Amino acid sequence: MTAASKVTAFELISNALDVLEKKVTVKIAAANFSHTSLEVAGLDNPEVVAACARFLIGFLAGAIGLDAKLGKSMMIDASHASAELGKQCLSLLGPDNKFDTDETQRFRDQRRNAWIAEGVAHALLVARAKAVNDLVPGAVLAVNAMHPIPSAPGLDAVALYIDGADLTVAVGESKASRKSGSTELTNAAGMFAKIDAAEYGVELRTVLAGLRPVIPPQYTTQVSDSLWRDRRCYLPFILHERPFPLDKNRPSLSQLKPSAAQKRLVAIRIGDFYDFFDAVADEMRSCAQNLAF
Amino acid sequence: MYNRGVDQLLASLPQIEGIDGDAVKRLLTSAWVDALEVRDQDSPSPDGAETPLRRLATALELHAVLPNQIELEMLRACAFVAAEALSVAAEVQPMTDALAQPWLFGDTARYERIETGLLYLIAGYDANAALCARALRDNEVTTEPTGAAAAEDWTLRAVLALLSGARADDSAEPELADNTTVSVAARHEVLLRIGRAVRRHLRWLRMDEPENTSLADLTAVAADLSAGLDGEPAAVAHPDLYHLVLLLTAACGETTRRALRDVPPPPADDTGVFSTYQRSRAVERPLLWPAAQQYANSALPGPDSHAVVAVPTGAGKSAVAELAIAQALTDGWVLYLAPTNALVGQIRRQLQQAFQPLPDVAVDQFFGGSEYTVLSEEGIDEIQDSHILVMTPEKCSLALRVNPDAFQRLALCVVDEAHGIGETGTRAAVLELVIAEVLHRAPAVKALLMSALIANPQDLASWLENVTGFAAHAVVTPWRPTRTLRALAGFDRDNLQTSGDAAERELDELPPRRKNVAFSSKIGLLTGLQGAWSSSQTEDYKYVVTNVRGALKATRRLGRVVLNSDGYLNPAVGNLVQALGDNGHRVMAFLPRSRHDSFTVARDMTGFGAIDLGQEVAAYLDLANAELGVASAVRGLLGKGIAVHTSAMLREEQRASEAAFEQGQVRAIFATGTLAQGLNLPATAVVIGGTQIGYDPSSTRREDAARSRAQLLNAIGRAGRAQIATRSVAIVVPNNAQIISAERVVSDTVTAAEFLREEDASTEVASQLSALIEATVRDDVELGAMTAAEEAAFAFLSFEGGEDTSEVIAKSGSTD
Repeated sequence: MTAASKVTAFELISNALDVLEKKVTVKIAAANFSHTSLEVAGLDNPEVVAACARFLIGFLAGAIGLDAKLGKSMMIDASHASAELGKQCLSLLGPDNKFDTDETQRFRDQRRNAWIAEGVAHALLVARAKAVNDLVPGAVLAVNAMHPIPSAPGLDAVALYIDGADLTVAVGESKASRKSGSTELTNAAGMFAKIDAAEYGVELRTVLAGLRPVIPPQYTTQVSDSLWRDRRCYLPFILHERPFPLDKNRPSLSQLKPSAAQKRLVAIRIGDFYDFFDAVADEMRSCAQNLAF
Repeated sequence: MYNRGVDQLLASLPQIEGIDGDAVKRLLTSAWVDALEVRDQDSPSPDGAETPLRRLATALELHAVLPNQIELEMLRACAFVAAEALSVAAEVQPMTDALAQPWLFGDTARYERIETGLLYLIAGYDANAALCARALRDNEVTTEPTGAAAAEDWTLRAVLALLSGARADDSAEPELADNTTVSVAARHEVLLRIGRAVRRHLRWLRMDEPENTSLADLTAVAADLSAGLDGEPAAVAHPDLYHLVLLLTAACGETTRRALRDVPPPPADDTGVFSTYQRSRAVERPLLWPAAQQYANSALPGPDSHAVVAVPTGAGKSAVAELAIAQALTDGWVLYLAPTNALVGQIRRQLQQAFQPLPDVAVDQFFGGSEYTVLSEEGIDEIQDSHILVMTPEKCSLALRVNPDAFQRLALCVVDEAHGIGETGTRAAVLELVIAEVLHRAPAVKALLMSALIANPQDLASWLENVTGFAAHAVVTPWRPTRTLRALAGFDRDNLQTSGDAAERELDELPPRRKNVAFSSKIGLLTGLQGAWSSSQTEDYKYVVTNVRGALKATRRLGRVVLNSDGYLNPAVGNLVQALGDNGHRVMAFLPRSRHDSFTVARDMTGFGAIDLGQEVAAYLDLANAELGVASAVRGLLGKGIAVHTSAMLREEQRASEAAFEQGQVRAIFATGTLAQGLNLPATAVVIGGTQIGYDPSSTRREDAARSRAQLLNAIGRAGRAQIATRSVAIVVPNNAQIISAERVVSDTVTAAEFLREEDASTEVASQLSALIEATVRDDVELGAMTAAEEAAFAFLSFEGGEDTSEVIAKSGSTD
């Protein structure tokens, strides 16, 4: 690979979002007392797999590139950034897709797949800013930056969207489980219950303050109104293989403050669960070689 | 709990449904009442579940920091409510270790405390911010062992110094550890940039740095953090650091606007008195509070005009006086009048400390024995321009006789507790005439009248302006750095019913010769959720039952058994004080009816354990013992953690009590009303035992009522000193026991303490001499018909020569 053929993080993310916009569909599947269920289709498409990988590697490279700029007086330069990307890929994805021990399987499920699932949730929210679908009932105005570290504290995804005249704060919690979609949904609801109880005050204030540069000025004063009036939307993103009932009433969701229309279960069913994550990881490893800082 | 100053601030809140000033005050106060330590935990709060404090904080903090432009008053209002909500939430719904997540500066609980402090700073409440910093220091900070931990520590120390108004340490910037990641290097660098900017700001505030670059520095950090991939702004990658920078930028902006260093020097500061004062004071107290800022804007440099400062208790009147004195000393000497010897002593000590860096400035008190009777042996024939003399008005009247010429070079006359002019009796007349004569004898003097109780400062300013020809300003700001919950105590109806029934049954079963059965019942508190109890809406009050009990009796009377609350007051006050003190409060209890009550109640209390009195207190007690010839009774009380302060005590005994309470050696101090007059003692709770003030034979009933109202309001003002606690409680225990409940109509209860309806600045001050002057002018004075005040005025004026008398009268308030 020559330097001339290298791409930037910005290009990778732009290209990925173009593919996601065209190839992925998000539609309401069911609506009931406790929540609204959405089905996401198209993630198995190889083009989408590659797009997810490009989005994630683009995000990682972008974050490292910005950090390199911030740390330039610490003698950080492009070579450090490039090496760092390699290290981060290794740390997040592992050297390969061989998971034959308990420890490596734990790594796969709790670190690699969890982080990729968070990336997919982010990608869908960012794509919603460009194209209309049912993910949220309005145009997305701003999405927070993803955590570069899967275990980092805080909220997975936070976005602002405009629903009619009302600004709404969307909070996404992503979970990945091949067989236990229902359990993961309950776990995600537990996190949302903590938001209802204002236990994530610092995180919410921080992440929303971090959106300041991208919130259109005419909406900045509406954020407080949304928060005070509990105008929130909870988005549990559940990546899974074995189907689980989407139309069943969920007590863990019905107890949450937002209306059923604003508790939107995003069910992302993948034909072959592990193949998807392996393919994304492979594509990311490959892309990492071709990035320019 | 929230006074007019907060009302004014909350008027600038953004228009959000459900967030208006009254609703916010109700929500915050109600939550805080639930957290009162003396609340009976067996009696559930009528509000039930969780209050949305953190949601309120999140909403308003984001309103403050998200927009690019926001009006200053709205910024302060949002920041204040957010800070207050977080601060109350920390007491009511503390973030447990289990809930706290690892975060910048350690964990989210710790970060939230820092956030609270910064919001207080943005709102202009720097004393409250300092308490947040102290809470963090007490709970030693340790950051997560990440790669940027050293930079976090270094920056945290600067942030804490900003919160506490202290000096940042000069420690070297930490080095970046080897083999760190790019992300850690970036965070390290950003943290250092933040720490440098804050340190530079602190140096600027302390006048150690000529230029204030903090805002530009922090803005640059924010811009770098939000730079996107394609050069366009993006959601920031380190939102925790960005959030901190946003708060710090606003906090540095606010503190820049209130910097002491920006007060202009007087025209002729050749000796450098003001600049030396300014520089030394900026080290300890670099920020001006609103009263000082308003005074500086209207009367400085100079002072070039008179001022009447009408601000609440604890709102920084002393700092206004210091500022005026530091400037006036460049032009002559300064007279400081205060109503009691205790206050004269405290003011002298405070001024000596403030002007310690100026060796040429002497602070003396013209003192002697009782404040308004006895002559003193001190001479005042040698008054230098750099002199500050502190005295009572009566001593000043003596000084005016002894050496009237000395007043020629008087540059400033500070009158503390100036509402005394409008009070009744001889002291008011003397104070008014002393001021009038000072204005006559000192042609260039500027007056600075200060009080928390004056309702008509503009009238006083007009008087000063009219009689001297110099401009005069009313400095009026209702801002106060602390909040005081007003509560009224009575027996809880339900509890009384149960315990009273049991006592009645017990007495019924006893032989008829038994007249009484003693029993106790729980005390309830009716609390006001707004400031003064002016509202008649039920929702503006909250009732809570306490775990404190009051003593009663079931008594046989005319063949029936009745409940009898005679003598309940003092024991009930003692029990409340004990319970508050046991829960860590520093309690000031007023028993204004009789000066003997304080000793009686203190003696009967268990106290707070044996304490070491320390050298200073012990020395005062030794002096008292020597003077009395027997051991002072105060020693025993102080030994169990209780101080007493009444006019029946020697000055040394009073000082021992003041010092022990001031230094935190004792938890409670019992006093008559005199202590309410201005003495700054650090109380977090005030208990007022009875609303009847000691008898004054020279006063009419109406005058008594006015005096009593002023003294009780002043007593409430003693609760909440900014350096000790953000919020405090003032509990009134009425002379006649009340039976209260959640259902009882507030207007029925408040009749037991009508003064609770009023804000502190509610005393219309008018000259007491008008009638006398008019009668004199008409040559219609009847010596036998004169009031005590008029007799005092006659006595005062009889010292004057003919022309001086008319000049003094011409300058009194009666001519306005």
